[in-house]
Amino acid sequence: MTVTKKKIESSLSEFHNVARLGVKKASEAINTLSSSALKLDVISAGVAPTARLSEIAGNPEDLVAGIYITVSGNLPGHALLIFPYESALTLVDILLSRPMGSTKSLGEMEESVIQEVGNIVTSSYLTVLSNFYQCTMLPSPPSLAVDMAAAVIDSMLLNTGKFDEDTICIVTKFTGIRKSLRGFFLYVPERIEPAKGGPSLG
Amino acid sequence: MCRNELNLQREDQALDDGIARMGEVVFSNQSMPVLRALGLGSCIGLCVLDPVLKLGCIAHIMLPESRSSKASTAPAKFADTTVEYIANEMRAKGAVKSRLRSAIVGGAQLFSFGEANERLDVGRRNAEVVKRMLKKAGIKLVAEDIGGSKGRTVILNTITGEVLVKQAGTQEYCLAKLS
Repeated sequence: MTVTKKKIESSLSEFHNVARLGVKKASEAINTLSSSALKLDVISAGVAPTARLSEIAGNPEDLVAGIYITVSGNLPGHALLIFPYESALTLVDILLSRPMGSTKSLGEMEESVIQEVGNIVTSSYLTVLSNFYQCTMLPSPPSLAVDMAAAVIDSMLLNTGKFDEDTICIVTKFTGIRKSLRGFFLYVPERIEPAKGGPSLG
Repeated sequence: MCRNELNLQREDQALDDGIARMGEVVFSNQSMPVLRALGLGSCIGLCVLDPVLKLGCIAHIMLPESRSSKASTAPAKFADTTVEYIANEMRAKGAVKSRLRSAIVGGAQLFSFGEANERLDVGRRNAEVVKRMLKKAGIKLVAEDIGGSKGRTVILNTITGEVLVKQAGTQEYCLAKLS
């Protein structure tokens, strides 16, 4: 079957609309988890120049905590949460009900907390997608890396296996009641319709 | 569709700032003798220098082989085509192949899911192909800082020949002098 450009654009538009609903669900979850200290807003649902994605979190050499979750099943994809390091420390303070500024580094427990944020955001997001498309989407356990922003993003992007000049992605920004609290949720789908049905991106 | 919402520079408006972004090669000139590739994770930063001409370049290489992908306009996207591209471009700018010296940096694996995963090991494969292609092209590989689980930034000073490497939270150090 020949896949027309129009069909792909229509599928992409639908995917992005559903993805926005997924982000809304994830925002509610993170809002509850953080006692309303944090929420998510979509800042881009479309295509972005791949070579520039390493700059979404700001300076490519800034230290960040990146939580990477792969998604398998009928609608596979890749999810990456990125928090500037200082924001990751603030987030830990909030989630563990510590006095602000008391977390100075990410030890084993703190890393576990950050990874759990990744789990909750991604699972909430995937729930909406899988319900809409009536398909299976299975998230992996989260993997955490604390490193330069560009290195974290590049490592995720290369793992998608497809590397065009543009990447279809959803980019979502965390905003917090504290100005120091910020982060990004980047979702790169491998398909925009479930494997059984329609066109793939490749 | 939504490029401008992210305020990301379009790739056809290269920033001419001496920074090689993913899939890019940047060449030095008189007003830009210092080149950089920032935050290399699985990617390879390939530095090549003609020390007599003081002409150099950095390529920010993303993937090992081009045969499994459709044609790309990004000159440094694939390890197996980038080295030849660089050799040709350097020669066109007056460099002598027998004088070319190189260093490679990057090829790390930042994320791990507890089991071997070929895609996650793309850094190792990138390094292997780059080294093979350098050997094939007759370009001497002077030094390498590859592998591991940490990202790197590489800086090439084409005047002094120094290749500097920096990791998050550490001081930069001189990997090699290509002169």
